[in-house]
Amino acid sequence: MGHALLHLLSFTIVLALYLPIITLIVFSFTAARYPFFPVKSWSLKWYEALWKDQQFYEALTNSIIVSGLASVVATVLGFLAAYSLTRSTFRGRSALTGFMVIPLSVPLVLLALSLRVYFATFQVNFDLFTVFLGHMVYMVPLSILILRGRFQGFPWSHEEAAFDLGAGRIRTLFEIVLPWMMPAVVGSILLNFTFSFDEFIIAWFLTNFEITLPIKIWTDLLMNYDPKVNVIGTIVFLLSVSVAFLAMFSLRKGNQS
Amino acid sequence: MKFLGEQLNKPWIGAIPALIYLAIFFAVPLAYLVVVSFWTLSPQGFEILPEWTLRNYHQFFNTKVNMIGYVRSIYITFFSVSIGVIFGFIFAYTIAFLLPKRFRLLGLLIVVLPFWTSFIVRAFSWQLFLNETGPLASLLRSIGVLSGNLGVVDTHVGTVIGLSLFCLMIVTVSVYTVIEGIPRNLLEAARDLGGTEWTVFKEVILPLSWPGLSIAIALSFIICFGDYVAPTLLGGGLNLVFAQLMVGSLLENFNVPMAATYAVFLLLTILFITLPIILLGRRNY
Amino acid sequence: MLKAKPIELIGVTKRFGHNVVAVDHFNLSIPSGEFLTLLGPSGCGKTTLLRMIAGLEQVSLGRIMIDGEDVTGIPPNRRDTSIMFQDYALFPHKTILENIGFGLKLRGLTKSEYRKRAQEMLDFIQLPDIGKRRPSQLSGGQKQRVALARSLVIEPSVLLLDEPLGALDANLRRRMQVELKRLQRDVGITFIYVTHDQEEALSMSDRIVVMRNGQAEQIGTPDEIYRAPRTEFVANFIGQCNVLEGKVVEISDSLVLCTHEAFGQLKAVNPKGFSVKLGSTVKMAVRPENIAINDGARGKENGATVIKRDQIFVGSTSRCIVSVTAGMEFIVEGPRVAELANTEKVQIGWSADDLLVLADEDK
Repeated sequence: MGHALLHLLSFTIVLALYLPIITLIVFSFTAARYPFFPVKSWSLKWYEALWKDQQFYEALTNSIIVSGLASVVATVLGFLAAYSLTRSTFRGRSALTGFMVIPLSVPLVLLALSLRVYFATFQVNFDLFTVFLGHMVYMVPLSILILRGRFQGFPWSHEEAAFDLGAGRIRTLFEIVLPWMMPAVVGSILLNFTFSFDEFIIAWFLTNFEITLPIKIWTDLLMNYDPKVNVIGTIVFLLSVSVAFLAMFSLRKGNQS
Repeated sequence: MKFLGEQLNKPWIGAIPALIYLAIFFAVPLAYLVVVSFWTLSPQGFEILPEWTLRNYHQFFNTKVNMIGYVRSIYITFFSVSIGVIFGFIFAYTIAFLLPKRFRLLGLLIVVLPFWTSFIVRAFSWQLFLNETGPLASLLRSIGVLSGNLGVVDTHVGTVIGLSLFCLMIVTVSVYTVIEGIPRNLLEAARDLGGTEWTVFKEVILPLSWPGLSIAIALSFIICFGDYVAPTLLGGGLNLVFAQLMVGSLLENFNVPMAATYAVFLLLTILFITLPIILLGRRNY
Repeated sequence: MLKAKPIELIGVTKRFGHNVVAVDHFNLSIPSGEFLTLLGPSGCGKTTLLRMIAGLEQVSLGRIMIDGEDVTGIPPNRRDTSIMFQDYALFPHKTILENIGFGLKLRGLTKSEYRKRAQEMLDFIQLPDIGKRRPSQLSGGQKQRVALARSLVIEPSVLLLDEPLGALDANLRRRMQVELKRLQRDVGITFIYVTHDQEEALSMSDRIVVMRNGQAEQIGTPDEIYRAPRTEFVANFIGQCNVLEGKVVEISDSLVLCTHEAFGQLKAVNPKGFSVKLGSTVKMAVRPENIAINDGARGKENGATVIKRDQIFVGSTSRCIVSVTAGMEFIVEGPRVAELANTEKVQIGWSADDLLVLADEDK
């Protein structure tokens, strides 16, 4: 009896998680201007309209540029930091690790606000570059967290063996450590990409005219409701989910080997 | 050739770039924000003057909307986190103990997957779903349960639904990770000593999952209390929550010191609520 | 003294999936108060059988009776058994006192009552001062006793022990063997003990069940099992044996006469429990310590001249390896074998009573 109840509740949870997204996807195929259920007539016209929407392409391009760059740079910084934090044994190491992951526990709106005020003081132009800088504040700690997990399982004797055979630290890093870390590196890049690609509030605070995709959705929703937003939402959902799938696959494969 | 010791000596150098980055773009801006909350807005209202004052704090406490918004944020957060914890625990327990082993990862994936998409898209999809013309309302109307309006969207019931699902995901993942790691023979020993499924849960599973659960609660609190998107998209624009007041004072009133003051209270609240939870959650065995 | 109860296992079978049979139509009756050991290599089904008695594993087929009552479908929390795990399974978040008192708490005792009883139990296991500590602060031996106390305090009529000494070092292990045996006699309840350690089984048990592939290979007292192993598997699992093959040429009431290419004629005891066919090939076993050398070998029914190859010192005694023919080696044990030089010719011999005919294993 109790187990049946647990199964029923869990099934309800799954419904609650997926029904809205299914609704979104269904509405992207409706012909009506405003979403109405049950759907009366089906059409691909909003997909067609989006196809011709210049602003959508700009926003998409901007998002890909920022997310692509930031996820790679953040992973590089995170890799070096995670390597140092697991490899060396100086005093205050755990305090430093703690400091480096604190940004993950600060609301994004606070990161956005503080950076906006900070940049404004220096009269910095708010464009894609500031969005990049802002996203990195969250993404560097995220990469450290992801990569540290795999570094902790690294057999350090391999590194010592390479030193012993005459390889320098940099060479060892590239030839011994990096190949072993590859699944986590790929996972880190992909997860960071989806974070940046989906992130709204920091981007919204830190750019004026060069908008990213989430900002485009936001303005389409709030300023002038545009049914194309269902289509964008559907595309963003499918894209993010497939990238996240790749990331988890890569991380999992790494854990098995 | 260098000696082995020489090559091993400075591996900490790698942490420096990330450290500098986070110092410049995280620690200093946040500290600066706290400082700005004690500065003055110029009479024209566009610049901040580095003149020390407590006026922002004064004004903060004397504005009734602030107090209402603060309390509203607290109770929205409280309900969202509580619902998330209860249902997250139920889901994690079901995956870990009732699902056959080969389906467990799939179960976890099902709860995580929707969260790898934009929060805006998700909040918006909830709006579509809960709308007066959406599937839920028309379903309830067609079976005769509902006659008038559903009245969920544009009230904070919608906000709580959206946020609690977020908490549910966090709680499920962290609780699942912890209870999956509980040695099965501890549960068997408890059963063998006379425990029913409920007493085993209460006496063994719950206390042992507390380290993971406490972190999930703290994280959920931070996300809910600081969220701007869900209250705006789902909660309507009238009953403002604390984060909305903060954003409004910056983007609409251009009152930077006042926005900074909100930020200070946001930080303090998070610190005061989450720190005890995390400290209580530390393993003491 | 607690009340002991007898156990009856009738055709107990455990299948995992479609083709893995962990325990196969197992029959056994265990009188109350017995110290019974399930002995066997890993994967023989002994732990699965124990877990089925505890109720932690469902029985695929057959019945389990405790005190004449069918408990097959009854969950572990309502069985009169208590299990002790190999790694003790102490609750890490509870103090030692709470751990021991846990079973009593679940039986509805008040806090002061169960704490008092738990403290009495701590006194009983001679660790009166550790009640406030947590399991992580105890040594292996202490944990072992606490786990025992936690199982005993709920007064089960059967105590199930799953390799409880496996995690201890050799010294402590030997001490605990003595203690466990004494404790079992004192409390008087039925103990079912699982181990893969033959020495442990021999020194503690009233009766041993040697298990293999989910079935009982042999059931008997330690003495019977040691002196008269029924099969080659048992002979080799319990102590060490020299096994040789011969052809049966004559059978009398008490003896079996075989021919062997190296030893010539061999006289062995005619086994009870199964019959030997004239003309068939049988396996026979002789323990290394029953083989005498040189002067001692004179007058024994079986024997040959062999060459000493190597020697191993094993504490109280010595063992040496001798080659009988080019491809056949024997192990001989005794205080005097150390005196022999390598490659020396040695006369070995043993009496007919010490040569056992083994039953075929695949039947």
